[in-house]
Amino acid sequence: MQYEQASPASDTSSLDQPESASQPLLEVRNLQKTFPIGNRFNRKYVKAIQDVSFSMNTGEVLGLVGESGSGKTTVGRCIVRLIEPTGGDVFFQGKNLAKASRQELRSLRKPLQIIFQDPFGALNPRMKVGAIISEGMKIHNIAHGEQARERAKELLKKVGLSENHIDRYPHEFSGGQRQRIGIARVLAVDAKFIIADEPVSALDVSIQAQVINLLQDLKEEYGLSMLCISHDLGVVEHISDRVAVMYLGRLMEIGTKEDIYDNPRHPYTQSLLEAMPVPDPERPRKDENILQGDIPSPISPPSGCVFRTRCPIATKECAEVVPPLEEVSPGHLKACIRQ
Amino acid sequence: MTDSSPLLQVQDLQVHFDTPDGVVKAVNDVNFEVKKGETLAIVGESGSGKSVTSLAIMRLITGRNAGGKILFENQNLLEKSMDEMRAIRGNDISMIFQEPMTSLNPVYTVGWQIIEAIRTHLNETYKQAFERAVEALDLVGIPEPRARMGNYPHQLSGGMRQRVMIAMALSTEPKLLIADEPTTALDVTIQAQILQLMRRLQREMSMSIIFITHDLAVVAEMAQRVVVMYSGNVVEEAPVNDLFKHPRMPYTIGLMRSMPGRHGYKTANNRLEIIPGSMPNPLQLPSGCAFHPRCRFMEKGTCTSTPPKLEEIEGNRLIRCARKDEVKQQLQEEKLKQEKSGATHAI
Repeated sequence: MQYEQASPASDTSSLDQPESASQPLLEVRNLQKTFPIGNRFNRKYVKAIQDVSFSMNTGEVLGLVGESGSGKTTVGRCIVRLIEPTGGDVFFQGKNLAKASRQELRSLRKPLQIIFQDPFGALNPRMKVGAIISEGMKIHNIAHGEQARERAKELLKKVGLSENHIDRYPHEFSGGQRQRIGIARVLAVDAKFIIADEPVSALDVSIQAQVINLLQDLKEEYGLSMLCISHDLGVVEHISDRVAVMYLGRLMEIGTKEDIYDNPRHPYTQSLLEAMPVPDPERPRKDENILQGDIPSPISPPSGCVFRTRCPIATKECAEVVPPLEEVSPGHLKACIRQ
Repeated sequence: MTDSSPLLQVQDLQVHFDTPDGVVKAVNDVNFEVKKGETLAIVGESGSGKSVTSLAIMRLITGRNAGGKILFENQNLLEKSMDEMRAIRGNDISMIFQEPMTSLNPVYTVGWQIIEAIRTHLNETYKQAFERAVEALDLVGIPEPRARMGNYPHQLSGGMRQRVMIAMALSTEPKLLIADEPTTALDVTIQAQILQLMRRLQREMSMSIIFITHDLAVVAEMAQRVVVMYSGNVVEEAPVNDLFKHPRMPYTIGLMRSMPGRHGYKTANNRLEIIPGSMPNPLQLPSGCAFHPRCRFMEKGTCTSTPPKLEEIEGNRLIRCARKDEVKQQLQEEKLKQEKSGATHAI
């Protein structure tokens, strides 16, 4: 799949990624984001993400899981700079998005698109569906006027709606249909990489399955890569090739789907999987393994390993060093000093 | 633990709403009963009528022509006056909701709110009520309950707020607890804590629970019996083990198979098995069986002309499907075919 640049706004060679043997499609390096809170006399910082690094290859689906407050949404938004990261680099197709100027960013992030969680908030209620889908095409100079309209109709059919939906407003659609419109809008600008932020969380089970299947179909048809952010371990297991687990702004474990679900090595991943309800009423309930307590405040995260306050196997040492993300087997990394 | 006499019987319940566009039959002929000490789960998607059913039991919603009977300890709640209802709500029947933030009053401390609930229903002094509230917070696993009494809801996390709601609901020792999606807004680890808490409290207090949810996995964790609702009707009722092993109504089958993850059912090219279409508009319900436009076992005539009745089948189960025998047979054939080709799955 060749990606054509819509408007080579300026020379972006200064943003090139240092040469390496195999260049991934997306590489996130030491990403950081802190949000200032309070007032100038009492300044505090929310450490939303700290030192997150991972890379993704073309055609791959990476699932990013974690509880609320883990920073998974912030990672997605920092990649496309809907939130400005405070540190780190994001290389996409070899260009550093984190260092690009506003103008450079516009063309660089065209192939990077987001599908949002809330299909009610993500679509402008005053715009007709046709305008919503073709807005991106106009901005990126892909198609205008009648041509854009025709393409919007085609895309509507592609996502399972009908072409005469084009002159309707968002409120006329159900949640699942709106999510389909969001997907059509992403396809309209020839996205290569989709950040799906809780794409099906707001939908009913039967509709959820339909949208997941649609995402899988489109991914195969267009050769898309996808970062699927979700708190739903079942959805992530179904859709992902690799899975990354976040807790309180840090990556805890990353590996293939099989690594994470069949052989979790980090105590947090283990307790997360343990906590997942299982649709088998005859399974014995293991109440003693339930993780106790709440996720701590990101304003003052625990020293050392951020998970140690809830960890069943934490020792004194865990409070002293921040555990590095280390390989347990090829491609399977965990951030835990306990074996 | 469960004794066989029913605590609550819902018989032919109907709740209709008049709208400018016509009558919405939100709950249409719903029947079920809850035994003492039993957990009954009501499962369904949005618009299935599960929440309206629970609100109707509490008489928090009237609608027009709320036909049928709701018998609580053999007294029809639909014939009670509002004053009599007020004495029952909170005393005998308590309810917890999905949104722990919006259910608590943000301008009062949680202690104040629990004490208010206790003093409304029980004839106790402030001091007695205070002690009872501390006890209730302790019971639901809130650390330092005495200190928490002075906290405002915004000072607590989502899981803690839901614990406060449960403490409030249980402080008057109700016989029946209605929990409407109590863990939907919570993270999985917190959800596991709350479910564990509810199982423990039920054991200790031997109360009955109506657990309303859209999540089948949570049902498997909690319930003894399950009622599946679709478009205001009960479409299947069964003991939990039987339902998960052999779902019979096509909608239930579809719901179970569309679950993502290892417990669902994958088609050949790694896709989820889906139920096509969406929930029908309650103003224009399809003729015959409300599920027929989405049903893969549908037969013209049988399913499209007359609404099927809820019928009892073997194993103390109820099912609303005109083609239940054909569906069962077809499923068995499919299963055989799959076993031959080497594939295995749960259902």
